[in-house]
Amino acid sequence: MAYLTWLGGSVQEALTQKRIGTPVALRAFFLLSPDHGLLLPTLAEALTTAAGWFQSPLTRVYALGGVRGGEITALAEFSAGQTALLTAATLRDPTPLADLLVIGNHGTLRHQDHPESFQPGRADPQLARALERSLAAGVPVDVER
Amino acid sequence: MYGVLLIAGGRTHQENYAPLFAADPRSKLIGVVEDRDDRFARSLGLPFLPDLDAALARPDVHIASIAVGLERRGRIAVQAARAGKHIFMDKPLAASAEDARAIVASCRESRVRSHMDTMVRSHWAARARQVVASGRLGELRSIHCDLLFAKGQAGTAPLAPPRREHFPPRRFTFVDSKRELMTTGVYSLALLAWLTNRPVRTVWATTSNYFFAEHHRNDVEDFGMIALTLEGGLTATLTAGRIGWSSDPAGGPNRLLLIGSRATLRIDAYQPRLELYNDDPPWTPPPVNPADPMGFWKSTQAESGVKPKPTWLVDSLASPITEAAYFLDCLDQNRESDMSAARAAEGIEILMAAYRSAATGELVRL
Repeated sequence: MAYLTWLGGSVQEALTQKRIGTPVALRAFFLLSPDHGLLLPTLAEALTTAAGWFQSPLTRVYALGGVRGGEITALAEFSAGQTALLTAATLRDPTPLADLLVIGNHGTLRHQDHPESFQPGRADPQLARALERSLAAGVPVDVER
Repeated sequence: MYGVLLIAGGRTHQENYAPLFAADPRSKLIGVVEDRDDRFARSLGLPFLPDLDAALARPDVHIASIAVGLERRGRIAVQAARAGKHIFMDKPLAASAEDARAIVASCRESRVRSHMDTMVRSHWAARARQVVASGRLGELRSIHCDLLFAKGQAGTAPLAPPRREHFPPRRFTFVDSKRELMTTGVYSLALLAWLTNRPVRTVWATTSNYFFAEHHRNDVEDFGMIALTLEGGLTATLTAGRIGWSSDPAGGPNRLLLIGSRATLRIDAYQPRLELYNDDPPWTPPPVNPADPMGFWKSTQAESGVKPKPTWLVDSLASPITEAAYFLDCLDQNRESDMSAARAAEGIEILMAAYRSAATGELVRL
């Protein structure tokens, strides 16, 4: 199973218990692969996963950094007011890292992992294009649905 | 010997600063002014001074430690600098870019030194700076700061409709809430400037009401995120806010990720640590104290019976040098603080740009 697919399901199951109340914000870091080509798909997949946790579609995203520099960060807004800040960077160190801080209105849910192998899942091409548009223009863009 | 005038007292960060100056053999506390009553002054065995002008005119006062509410901070700092006193400032420096610039100008004209309290004196900030300076990371590509305070009784804010920010922000501080992007974000912006010495070029930010009815009622945010670009292509982000007593095993997430062309550095203010689990009763948050429901102040936390969280045992949180000792070093050596009013004012410009961005949804260029 692709890593983020597994992680998405695992977090979703925990959120269902409502122990952190309603999820309102996400901070995530993914330093998983040396492949520059995986940065945008990873971010796009993670944003889609976050939209599922929030049960709220992504409306606006600002991407900064760049594929060439090996690091992209996306600051995203969702329709019900949730926010997410996600960073994907190429692996520079021996140890990969996936770090999540899901913030709910009654607590936090955290995940930190050093997965030995990283298989990307399927990224929403529309979302990947929105990230590319933002990176190219250097401004936030609306995500069309 | 430097005479220190405490401007503001109880239920302000003066509760933290006064003991630092009192403990340093180079300084002596002179009195307290601009406090609501004389209790704080009496607790320190100091005179409660009724008049700010008269207090600032005293020849035995050399430093003004200023912790008045943010909305009054600019005016009083200018007054103190014009009276020829060095100013030790609570953070953030001021409530507007105009106030911040006025403080910088008055310090320059009066030839007095200035300093703002931050976290850059901590072990972990020093480590970050040392690693950046070593070149081990290669070319620095991005810096990510997360600083969230685990205080306050969360879960009381209505989550709908989402917050709508307005610009300019009209008021920042209330008894029961503060603008948290300003209050918490200032630490990360100061750290960023201190680590990079690079000006910020663009700002995009969000502000939210996720946790507290008090913030919602006063129309101030309890959470925010900022994405920045800096000169030379460096990017930076920060998350800032107050997320509730029970959201963290310690004081709240406080971490830094530096990504360079060759390597990355992750720093957690609560590492290294011991973790202790036993059959003691679990930690419980204090009852809500109407005088300070968010746990801003030492004195009100003590009144409420706030107990230290027992699970994480961290002995590296204390700074190797206190803010007061650092500022006294600057005065002794006749040098500018690395967190002078001029540098702190840059942070206010960025925070104001962040509020503008959050209100308009647009990227703000500086």
